[in-house]
Amino acid sequence: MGTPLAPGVAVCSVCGEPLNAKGDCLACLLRTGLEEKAVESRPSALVFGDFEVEQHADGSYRELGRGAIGITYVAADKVLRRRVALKVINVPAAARGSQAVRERFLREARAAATLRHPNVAAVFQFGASPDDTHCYYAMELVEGETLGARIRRDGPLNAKEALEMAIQITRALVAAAAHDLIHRDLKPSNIMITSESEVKVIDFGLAKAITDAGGEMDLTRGEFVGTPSFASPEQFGSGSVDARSDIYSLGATLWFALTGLAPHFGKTLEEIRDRKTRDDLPVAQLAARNVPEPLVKVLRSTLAIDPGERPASARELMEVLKSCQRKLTRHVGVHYDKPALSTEAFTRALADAKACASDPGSLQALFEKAARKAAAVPKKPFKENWAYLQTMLRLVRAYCRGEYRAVSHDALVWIIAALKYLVDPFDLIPDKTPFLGFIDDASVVELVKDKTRRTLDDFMKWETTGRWRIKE
Amino acid sequence: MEAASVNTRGGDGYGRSNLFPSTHWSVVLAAGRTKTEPDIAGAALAELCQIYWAPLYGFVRSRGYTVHDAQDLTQSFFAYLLEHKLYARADRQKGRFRSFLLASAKNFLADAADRERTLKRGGAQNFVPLHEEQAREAESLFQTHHGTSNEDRLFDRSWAEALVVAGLERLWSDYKHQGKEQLFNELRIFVAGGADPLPTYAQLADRLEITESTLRSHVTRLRARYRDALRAEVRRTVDTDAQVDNELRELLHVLTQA
Repeated sequence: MGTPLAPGVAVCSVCGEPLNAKGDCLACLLRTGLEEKAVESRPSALVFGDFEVEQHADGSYRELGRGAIGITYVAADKVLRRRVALKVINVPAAARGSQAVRERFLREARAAATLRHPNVAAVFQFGASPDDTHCYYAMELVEGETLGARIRRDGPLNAKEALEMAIQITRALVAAAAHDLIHRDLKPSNIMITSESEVKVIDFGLAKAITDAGGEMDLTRGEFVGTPSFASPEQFGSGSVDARSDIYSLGATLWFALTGLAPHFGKTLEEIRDRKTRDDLPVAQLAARNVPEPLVKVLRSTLAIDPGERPASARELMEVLKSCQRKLTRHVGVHYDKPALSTEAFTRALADAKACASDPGSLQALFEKAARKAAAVPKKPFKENWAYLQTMLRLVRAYCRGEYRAVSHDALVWIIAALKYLVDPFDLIPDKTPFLGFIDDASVVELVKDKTRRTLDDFMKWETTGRWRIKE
Repeated sequence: MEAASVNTRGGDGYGRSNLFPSTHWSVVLAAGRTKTEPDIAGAALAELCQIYWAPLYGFVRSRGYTVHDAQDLTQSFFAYLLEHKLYARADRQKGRFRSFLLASAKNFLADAADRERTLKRGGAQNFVPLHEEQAREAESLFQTHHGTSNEDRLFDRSWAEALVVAGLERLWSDYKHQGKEQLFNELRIFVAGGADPLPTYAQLADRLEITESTLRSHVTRLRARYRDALRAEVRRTVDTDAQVDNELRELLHVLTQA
């Protein structure tokens, strides 16, 4: 360093050269330009015990999903030479080195590993990394998709499908009861559906282990274990929970399967808790979907605030569900068809959209309004929705620039209708089902991430293939 | 002047990466020599002048002109440059926009008649629009360095600053379009240094709630992208790819040597 420094001039902690007024080091910034072309090295192998995480051709790790504290990968069991789903939990710095935390995780995981049932994704092995930074467990790799992803792609299930799914989950609960295990975090993203419509519950008995290792879960506070929208009211308290808590969560999951919504939505833990304990069930949602009365009764019973009013055990729930199934089979005129999305507001939006589509000026005005709104849309908790909006904007912009002229008029109308909805997300269309579905769906997040590589046609194929129907 | 035909900084607004600007000094030189596309050459040069306004202003200030006069002279110089198409006479062999600009500015200021004419009529040519903030930052840059450097070194230092700012802004814009502003801000220190010691990967990975290997990968990618953005920015100001390394070395030498 040659130039004498003016008094008070800060220097770079890396190279000792003076910093500019913004606190940046010009020398470091110039040196970076002279570095050899960085060939991004393939990430090193990620190994946990006997398991090595699979990598894509570009070296990135093959992920199945990720949450606030952990990532689930596809991994290879190097000993038994089979593929597994490997959940890796990042242990917060404060909890590292704690023998108690480690022991608690291993104890819970050990208990979960004893459960073997066709409707439960089996836990094969578990452990903690030697430096205590991660806990992990290897599960049966289920080829399929989560219930959440299925609903978002195809729309709500019909009564028959939803009931069949609930019965399979209940079989898993019955088996778990024999091992004194409760799930504690039953929800659509923990229900896998295979291509043969077989249901597999994942993370069984591990919710608490995960919480113990990671310190917290999505939207959790204090001792809370679970996911608020699907958790039982008693999970919000400090008392113990039992199998009836899982029955409540199963009811909430069944509700979601039938409507695409959780029975009690909210932005905060407190809001959801208050709604669960204060508000009546929004049964109008069920009526709008033509959910048969016997199934409504099942939902009322499983979603009772007082655990004493719910079926007392998984076995009892199974009887209730079987009885419901018999009634439905006898029931004449049950709507097994997927309900079409039809509201006045959406019809209005469609009409507006059609006008826009045929008038470039209106389209431009809509786009500008959307762009302004996009800047104001809070990224959280609607960040996925926000990302979706960005995608929509890009598509419409691309269309305005003259690209994708081959797109059908109907497809464009659809995009604009969706865009209009998102411009005014909570007023234009009372029924937000299809759009709320964009929140916290890993597959959609992935799609949005991938958006710049997709053409409009690709997008529309995904968007329109059986996701939901618009009644015009 | 077809200013709109010049690709401005900050990506294309549609999410596509745009680290590589299309406006090059070589384009100006080529267009100037063939005289076939004067509008394109003029617009491209105007854009380059806009980016490198501060170094020129600092140079003029270092000649003892007041803030107001230096602003007028800088504006007038750029207007003169564009009006008289001086670039058409630039020596391609010498190649660099920086050298061309400094030499032309020296000639311009040495010409007493031009200088006086400019000051008497108060400058006011706005071929290159001047923004208040830009003028304020340029003055601040001048105040920071004028006591420690001669006028050529001051010019080169300001030039280096303009280059890295342009590269960083372009990169920031690219991350922003991908919704990764926060990541950029967190990792910026690994490119730009600073007074605080670099955080360890373990600390930062913990805070960002990602694995260390993911963090390393992000940092590697950021540095590689910044390198490309900076080199692209330098490439705009020189005539050939081969001159990029030399230009960077020379500027680094100016910054780090007495």
